[in-house]
Amino acid sequence: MKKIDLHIHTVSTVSDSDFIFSIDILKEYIEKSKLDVIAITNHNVFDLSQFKIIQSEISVVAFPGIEIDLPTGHLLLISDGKDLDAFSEKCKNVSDKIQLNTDSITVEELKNIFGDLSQYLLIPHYLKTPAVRNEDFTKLKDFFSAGEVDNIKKFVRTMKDEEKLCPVLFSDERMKEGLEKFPLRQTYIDCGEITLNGIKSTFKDRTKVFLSENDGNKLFQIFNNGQHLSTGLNVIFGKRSSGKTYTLNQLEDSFSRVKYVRQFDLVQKDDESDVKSFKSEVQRKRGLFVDKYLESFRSMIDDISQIDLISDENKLSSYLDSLLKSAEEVDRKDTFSKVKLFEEEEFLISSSKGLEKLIDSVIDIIENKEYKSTIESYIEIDKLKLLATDLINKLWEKAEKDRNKKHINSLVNDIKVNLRFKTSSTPIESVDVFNILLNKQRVAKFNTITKAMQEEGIIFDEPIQGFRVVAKKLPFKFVGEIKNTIPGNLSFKDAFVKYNNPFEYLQLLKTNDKLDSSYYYKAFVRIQYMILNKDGNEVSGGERSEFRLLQEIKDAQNYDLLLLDEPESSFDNKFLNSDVNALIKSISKEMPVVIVTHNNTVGLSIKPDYILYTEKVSSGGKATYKIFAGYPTDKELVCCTDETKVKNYDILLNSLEAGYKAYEYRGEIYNDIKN
Amino acid sequence: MNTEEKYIMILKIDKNQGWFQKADGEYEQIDKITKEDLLRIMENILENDTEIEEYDEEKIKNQAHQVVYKSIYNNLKSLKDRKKEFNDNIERLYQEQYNKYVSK
Repeated sequence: MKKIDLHIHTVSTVSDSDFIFSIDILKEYIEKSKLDVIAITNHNVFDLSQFKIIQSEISVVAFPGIEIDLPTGHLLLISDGKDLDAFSEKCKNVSDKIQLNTDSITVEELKNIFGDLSQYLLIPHYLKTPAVRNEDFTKLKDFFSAGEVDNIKKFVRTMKDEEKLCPVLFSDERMKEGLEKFPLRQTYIDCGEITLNGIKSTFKDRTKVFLSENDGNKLFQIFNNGQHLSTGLNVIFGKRSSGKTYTLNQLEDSFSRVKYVRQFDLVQKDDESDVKSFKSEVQRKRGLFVDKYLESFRSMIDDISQIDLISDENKLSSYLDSLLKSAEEVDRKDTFSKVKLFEEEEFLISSSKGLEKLIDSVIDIIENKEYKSTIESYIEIDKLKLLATDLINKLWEKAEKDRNKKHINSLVNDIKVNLRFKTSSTPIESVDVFNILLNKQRVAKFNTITKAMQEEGIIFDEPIQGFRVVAKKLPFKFVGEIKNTIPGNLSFKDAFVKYNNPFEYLQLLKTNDKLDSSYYYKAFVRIQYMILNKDGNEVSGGERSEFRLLQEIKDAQNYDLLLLDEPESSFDNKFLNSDVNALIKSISKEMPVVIVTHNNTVGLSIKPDYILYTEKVSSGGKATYKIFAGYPTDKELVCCTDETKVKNYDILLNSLEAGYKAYEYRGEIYNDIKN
Repeated sequence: MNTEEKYIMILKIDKNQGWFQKADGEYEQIDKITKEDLLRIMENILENDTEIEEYDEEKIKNQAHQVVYKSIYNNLKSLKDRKKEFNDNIERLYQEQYNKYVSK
């Protein structure tokens, strides 16, 4: 078995943050990681003289390579190193073309520079950003021997899928001065002779590519001391303060994208603040949906709040007053007020919105591709096009007429103003009755819609692992409920009197200067969130914790490693045994999971893939933690640092059953009860 | 002429004077019209089939009535002409909201 890392950086380029290469660090990395083969792959550059130094200084095989920026992603190109000068020349062509970190070369340019690509080992960024995708991928597909992934979860998933490239996990590390923590991303291959062709043909048979030296893809290395974990489900046992949580913390440090559910994170509390914070959490997660539901109501409020019925009524009054007054003065008309234009009213200009909407709808039908054939079976598209043209012409005509009307209106107004200056007669005010009446209709419709919206009803019902999250709309019953809904500790006492008349209520809300208009819509309907249990009742304190745990575990799918510290601290066994175990088990098929537990329900009935036992060792006043590990069926668990062993059976009894005596005693009690 | 009326005549010229129809169906002289009357008549025009007698300077002798009748007639006529547009507008009004919150 050979351990390889074919993605190592030794030159700081425009694509890296500044670093100083250290040959000693590289040597230390190779030694501590027990590597057999490496490749030097810097961004768009191959440093021949540096490579020769590396080759002379290290004791393992080093292949010369380069990491090339293609338009979509990065590609590792590794040479057999037989003609270093020629390879170096080719790489110089790449360096010439890629000067900035935004530059790249095309696949065609790549082929021109390197000629026959089958002479090289080509590995694209595969499930790793930036990935070689689309056309770049298709054009090079036949030359790829493997695809680089960036974590265990992706490696295991990709390995299971025969359709995918054989996954490889490499460090992609800068061998720089001061590097203390060495990466744990390497790949094992079952390869006889170490040649480039040998490695290439090994990749072709994915059963020869592994995460671990002896345990295939069941285990992977987690710490530099050689400690492994299962790629599935791991359980950590150990006495109090023996380093279990310490181990989880270390894991969190060593890996990126870790979901860590800490001990007591989910513990049940019955106080009011817990209920409140729980609800607001559920609410926040689902707020987007409810916002979307209320979005159109909000835009209606924006529109309606522009309407001022009192001002409308005043306009009508002043029209009528001026009209009647003008009629009274009819005998006293002078030469100015007798001019016909003095009493002339403005041309009313109607809105084009309806026509514009109609044109849009016709164009929508013409341009719809999804239902093209259905549409064509009823209407000829050409006729629709004629209709659209006709309507557009009408719109243009109207626009033309409106322009003229506006022009005349301003002309007439000018004349009227001049006449008014000179006459003592009362001019008749103009009034837009069309809009005044339309506003009244708007208000009526707003009231109808708002009333309907305030009726009690369910707007959201999402089943989640045996629970249901329900969002309910209902009218506000008490003014305090509005106060709790809208931030700012404002008073709604005065406005609430008119709550049953939505428009009048809105007018009162508008008088409150401190209330931001963007919150108006929230003051009309109450949204209540409920988490219901299997029986349809609101959840209890314990069930809230259960719900949270299930949510956290579900959320873990978005991460690469899940750590759970003593989930039993918050739950009863029945819940752990049924729902949680099943969920954890299924997630562990997708990603590595580590659980620390004292509970036999979790510990054994969950059927772990790997067992770890922690122990605190004090020597010379200094405490260190030891980890013993093995498969559940192993008789002994082994410590990877000093090969010492403990008996699996003892560990399980001591950790889970409070020791053998307690176990036997409990067994007797159960027997007594049974009999 | 009045006997052949198809629809309710809400604005008419009679005895050299302008008249409007009150809420109780009786007619009142046009210069007695109030804001509430005007609003009611306008709504009536939009909601029902109504008739308004065309303004004719010759037929109205009362000059004050001429001024009031003419202006109100013009306003009502314009409204009547735009009845279709008005109803289209109402139909479209908050349609999205109506479908979302009212229709089930």
